[in-house]
Amino acid sequence: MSENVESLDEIVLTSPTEKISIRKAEMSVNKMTAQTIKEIPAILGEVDVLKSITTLPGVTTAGEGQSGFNVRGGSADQNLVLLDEATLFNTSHLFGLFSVINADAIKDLKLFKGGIPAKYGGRISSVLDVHQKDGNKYNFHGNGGIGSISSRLTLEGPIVKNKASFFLSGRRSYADLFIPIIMPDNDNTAYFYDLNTKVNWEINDDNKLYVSGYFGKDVFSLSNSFINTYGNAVGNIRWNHVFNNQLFSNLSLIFSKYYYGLELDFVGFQWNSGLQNINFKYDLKQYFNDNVSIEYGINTIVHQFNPGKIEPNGADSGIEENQIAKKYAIESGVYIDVEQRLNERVDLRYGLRFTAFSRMGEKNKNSYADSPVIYNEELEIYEQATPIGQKDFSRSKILKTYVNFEPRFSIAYSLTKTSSIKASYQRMAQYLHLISNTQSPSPLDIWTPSGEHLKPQLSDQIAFGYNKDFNNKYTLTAEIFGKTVKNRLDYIDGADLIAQEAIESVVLAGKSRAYGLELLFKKETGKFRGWVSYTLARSEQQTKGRNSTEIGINNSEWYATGYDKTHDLSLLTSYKPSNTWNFNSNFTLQTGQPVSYPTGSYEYLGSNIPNYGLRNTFRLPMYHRLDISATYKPRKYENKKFKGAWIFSIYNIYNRKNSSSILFNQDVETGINKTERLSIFGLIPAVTFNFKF
Amino acid sequence: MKKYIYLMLVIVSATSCTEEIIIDDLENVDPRLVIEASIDVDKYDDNSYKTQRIKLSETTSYYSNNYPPVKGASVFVTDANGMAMGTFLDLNPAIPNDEEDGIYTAVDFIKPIIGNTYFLTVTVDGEIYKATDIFTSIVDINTINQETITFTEEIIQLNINIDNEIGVDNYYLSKIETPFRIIPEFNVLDDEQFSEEVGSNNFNFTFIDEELKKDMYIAITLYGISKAYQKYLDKLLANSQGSNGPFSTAPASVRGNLLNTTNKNNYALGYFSVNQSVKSSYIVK
Repeated sequence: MSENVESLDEIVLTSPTEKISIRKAEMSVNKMTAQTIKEIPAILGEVDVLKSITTLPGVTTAGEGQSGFNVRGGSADQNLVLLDEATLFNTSHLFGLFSVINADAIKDLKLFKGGIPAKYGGRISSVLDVHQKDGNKYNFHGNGGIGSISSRLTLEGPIVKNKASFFLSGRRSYADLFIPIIMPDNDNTAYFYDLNTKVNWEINDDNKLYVSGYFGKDVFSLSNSFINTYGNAVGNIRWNHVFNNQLFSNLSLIFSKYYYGLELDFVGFQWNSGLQNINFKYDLKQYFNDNVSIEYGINTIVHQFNPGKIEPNGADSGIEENQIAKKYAIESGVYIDVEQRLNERVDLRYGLRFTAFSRMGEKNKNSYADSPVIYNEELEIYEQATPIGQKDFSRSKILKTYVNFEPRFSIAYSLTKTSSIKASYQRMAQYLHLISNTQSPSPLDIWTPSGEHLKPQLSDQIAFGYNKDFNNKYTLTAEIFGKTVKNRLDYIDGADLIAQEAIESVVLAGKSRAYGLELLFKKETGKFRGWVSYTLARSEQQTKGRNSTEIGINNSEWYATGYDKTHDLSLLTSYKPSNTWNFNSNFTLQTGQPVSYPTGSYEYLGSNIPNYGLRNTFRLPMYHRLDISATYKPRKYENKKFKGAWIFSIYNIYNRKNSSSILFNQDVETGINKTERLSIFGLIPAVTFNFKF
Repeated sequence: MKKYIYLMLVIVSATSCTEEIIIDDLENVDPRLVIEASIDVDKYDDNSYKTQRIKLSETTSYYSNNYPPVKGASVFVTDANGMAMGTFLDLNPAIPNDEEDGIYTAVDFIKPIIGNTYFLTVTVDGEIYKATDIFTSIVDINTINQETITFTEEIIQLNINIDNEIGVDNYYLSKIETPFRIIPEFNVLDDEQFSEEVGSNNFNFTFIDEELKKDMYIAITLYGISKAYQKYLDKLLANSQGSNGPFSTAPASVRGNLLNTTNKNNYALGYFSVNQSVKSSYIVK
């Protein structure tokens, strides 16, 4: 842990911690330390953990300023983001401009894109396992930073020396604190904060107790007539017990909550939605000998979803109170995962996860004469069916259960001491759906559990890889992958998802597929370090008609998903000529995002109406930019306890106007159709001061 | 609500900028017939309903504002008994100086009856297009007033107050004409969010625009429309108002209620609707 405390100190050049073993049957995995993440130049100097992983092969974002990430052609809701084992449902601050994970609070992260061990389940594209720092057991330390957007402060130290420690890390944006001084009449505000906490208690040699938590919130208010708040709260109590030197266990109780609130005073309503769950988990790890170890365990999650409640915000509001029925579900899993070294050349990892998901009773459950989505054969369009009735079911009644076996298998074959080939297969099930109208999660997104009408998503993935280590200086990883997903939901044309009471009536189940090639060439030692990552991939989906008379979505044809990126290139370099200076750069280039454009226009009600073609047949222009940063550590701090460093950064140095979206509309003054390009970030310079003591 | 959320995003993206551009390959790949057949009947004017217009045109490429008229078609609106409601002619002898322009006009339209179903039949190049709609009523406007709200700066908001009809599902279309826009602002509303209890069924249509200034003349029309037409317009207006922003689903072509009974695949865009309307006006204070 101490190397993380020393985050501003020299980088340990000789023992990279991000290396993936050549010999081990671990593939499609990337590790990153907090140190690496902090060196990547970021928007306004605000270090962004989630954006940093998009520099890895197989990981992209749909577009700039959108939070979330896409792994191997999967949607952003197919990523399991764990912060000390607790699921984060929304990962963005300020509507996606920044991510919720404060880099000061984390030790490292591990991203699984494939070959996902059987102990993980519930999402089908990836697992991002983020570990918070533990807190220093011996000495009191602090560090922090003053940036353009936010300031950070982290404190850690012993509670009982050698026995118990605490860790506390906070970050808060502060534009709202200064604006009233500069503009006293202003009554708008926008801020976010994060608080990461951990307490670590070594009861004795065999028993340790960890309590960790994260609380984050965004508040956005305009003249008190528009108030938007949202945030996550997660907590985890974990008891680590050592039975003997071969058997270890972890017992965890984990809580996750996501809340979204919106008040519009001039419309007279208040909206609340969210979800929460409690996860009980017991994991064991047993070492049989030097060559075989087994992990096994169980877990059960109790989910509660609040799709939305609308309320009048005052006595004179004409709004009628309406609670969209809360939904409940129980998700359980049991797994066994074996790591086995067969001989000098062959290493195996195989396992099986068995999952069961039960949708529990709810109030006002709609019943339909047939399907919740009806097909108008004459007009060839899908429409929402009108429910024929509503019925209340007890929360303890099981309405629908799904079970799945999820086998996982990975093998590594060492060709030489420094090179190997690897292969893996995985099947995964995802019982929660995020029916997103956007290409990446937005705070308003509503999660929906599988049930009578919505089946769980099932994915199968195979991957093959080649790893090579050159003189301990360079590493090369090349992988190809292919995956298919069943029961991928897609919304019908013109679907309205906001405050939708019957989400099952605006979606149809289809399938998706993705395949690609990923290359990562890395230099991890020396004054000059960095990596090149390149991905060539395709991600598509298809929703056929449910019978031969139906037209399906997009005429039943395969079409590019909103996050399909043919080419994705990242080039990161770090140059450290001395202990005082460190220079970093990040170049990104990727194929433009697939979008739908009008292929014609017509007149109706005196207005011009754009007539759109099939989905995602056009692309935004190619996306690219270069960011640079320089870190300066003044010599005067060298032998002092208090150390400081300046970080100067420029985001998008050649001021490329990348298209975030294209807007089509009619000029209301001239009546002429026009197209407007929205670009979010131009050239942005920033200065940050970091300190530690 | 979508609009407010979009507005919020725009405000947040303080560093963002928009720039007008031209996209080269937006050709009219799928030329189609467009039928605009809105039969509008003023609740209180006993004359104007006699003249009704049905417009036939074709789609054009996105940047062209030149919509080719469809001439030589035959247009009929009938009631449930098959009786013609009026004589629709492109070149109508009853209209002085009428020209063939794809606008089929009737000057002898019979007043429809609330709740009755009406039928449209259009024949173009030997292909027959059909549609139906129900004549839907509208309540009166109680009052129109204004207030000033602070939404980063002071903006005038107009409140158009009505009593939502109790015991029926109501669907509304509002049209607001201002001197600062050459195309009117349209909005649709489904009354499901609003109370149906006596005494609290009163609510406002609101119109907010930073361009609203003192002494401006604002013309307001409210239409009672069918549920299907409301759903159609909701999608259509989202496309036309360019709100295909981050919070709406991917925009798609919007099908109306017109069915080509000769050749299903050669469908027409547009809608046939029969609506009652009330008009009012307001001078901004």
